[in-house]
Amino acid sequence: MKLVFMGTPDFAVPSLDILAQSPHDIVAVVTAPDKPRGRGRKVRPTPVKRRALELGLAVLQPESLRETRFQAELATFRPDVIVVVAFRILPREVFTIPSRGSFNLHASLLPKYRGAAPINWALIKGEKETGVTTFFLEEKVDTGNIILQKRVPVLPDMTAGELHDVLMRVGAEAVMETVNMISAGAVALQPQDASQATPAPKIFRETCRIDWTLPAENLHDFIRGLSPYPGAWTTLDTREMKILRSRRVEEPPPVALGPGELAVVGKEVLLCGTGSGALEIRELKAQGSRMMTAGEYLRGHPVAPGARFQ
Amino acid sequence: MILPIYTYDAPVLREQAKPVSSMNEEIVALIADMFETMKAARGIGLAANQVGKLHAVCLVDLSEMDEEDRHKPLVLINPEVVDSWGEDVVMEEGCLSLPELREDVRRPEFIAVRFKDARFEEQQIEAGGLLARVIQHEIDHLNGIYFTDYLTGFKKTIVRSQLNKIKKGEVETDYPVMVNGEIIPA
Repeated sequence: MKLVFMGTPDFAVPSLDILAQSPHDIVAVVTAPDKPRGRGRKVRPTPVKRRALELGLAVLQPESLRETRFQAELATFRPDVIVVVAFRILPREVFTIPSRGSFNLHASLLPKYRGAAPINWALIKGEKETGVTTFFLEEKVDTGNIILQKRVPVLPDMTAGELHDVLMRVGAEAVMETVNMISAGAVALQPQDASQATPAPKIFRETCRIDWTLPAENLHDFIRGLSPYPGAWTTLDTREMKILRSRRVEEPPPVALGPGELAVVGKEVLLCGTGSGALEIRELKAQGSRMMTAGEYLRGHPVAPGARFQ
Repeated sequence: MILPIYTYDAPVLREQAKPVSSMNEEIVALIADMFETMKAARGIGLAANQVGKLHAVCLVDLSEMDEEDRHKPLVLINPEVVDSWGEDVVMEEGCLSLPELREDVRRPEFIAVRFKDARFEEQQIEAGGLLARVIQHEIDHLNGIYFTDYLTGFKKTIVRSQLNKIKKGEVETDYPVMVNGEIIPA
């Protein structure tokens, strides 16, 4: 089949790779325009563009998917299928171009976690299992008929970064299988049960602020669900501090701690009180500083008695 | 063949591995299986105790690491740290036999290690950084030592409950493990 691939970040690269190694023909790759990225904010191509160029594929970078010139150009490739992995919302005029449909890879078990941040929200909500879904695109975002799902277990300390990497690999397999199913005409569509839908909205800075009155269990999920990016944060002496890794302390701590209250036990254990139970703070990043383990941090920054996260 | 990895508190992980006296088919096969096992579990080191064999054999593979830490894969038979120097450094360690546990451990920065290579030829190398770290960790395994043995105080208390979970098989891994004599698939 003739495929058009649309995607931008690292998450999409293994999917592009697996398709490039298949007998199918990637006639064009659509990705976001080059813009300042990463450290130094230099203008750099997207991860998908870099890989596409290495693979010798044609790359399109429209400013807007609504441009009629872009849509006309896309149509000249006469694609059978458009494969969408971590990309913008496609207008109807685009997703109806291919003869056999456009499908999206979504990083959750739809209809759960519809929206922009499914990986983060699945962890924040303490899911024991998540996965990936491929579905045909429809007008309403993340509502299309399901083609294929793959499940993965979520380990209790897994971070968003780690789950991202797992789902990136599993997602590529799902994309490959989905293309093969469409190619073979062997797709059994399954509509989404809208009554089971949960949202996974885009995460803003204010969403990431830690509420220390919640129970330790929920805070642990919150912290790992936002780690390493964008990072759950709190303040210590008005200074912003990101908490990137934590652990629930199941033993009664040597001192009783109220929500946000800090205690150093021994030289390297930093404990914080919550609404219920204590949390060990394991990795943190103070504003303007690099990420440190609690042990490293404590060697340079004594924590005063009575100090607390606000 | 991918072997199941023995996890805490398997008796074999508390025993002293026996020196290998000569290369034979069993050791050659063990090394091949250990490489396969380590790769499947995405580990950077593996000692024979961890696959239930009490031969003094361990592997280190830093070939996928970033430039400064990168090193070709090593087979170390009958390894022995003959010297160490520099200041002790703190580095976070993890272990395939202790799933989900990672803790800071203090060890010498540089070591000289003597061992027999895969052709059973005597070697001595000096190592620093991550390579020194992993070699010391693997040699500890051959002596029945876990990195968690170095923890003290309340840290040890916190970690104990996690160790108990591992002992009861209450953690999940994405590689096959041996818990209480039973193979749990990935």
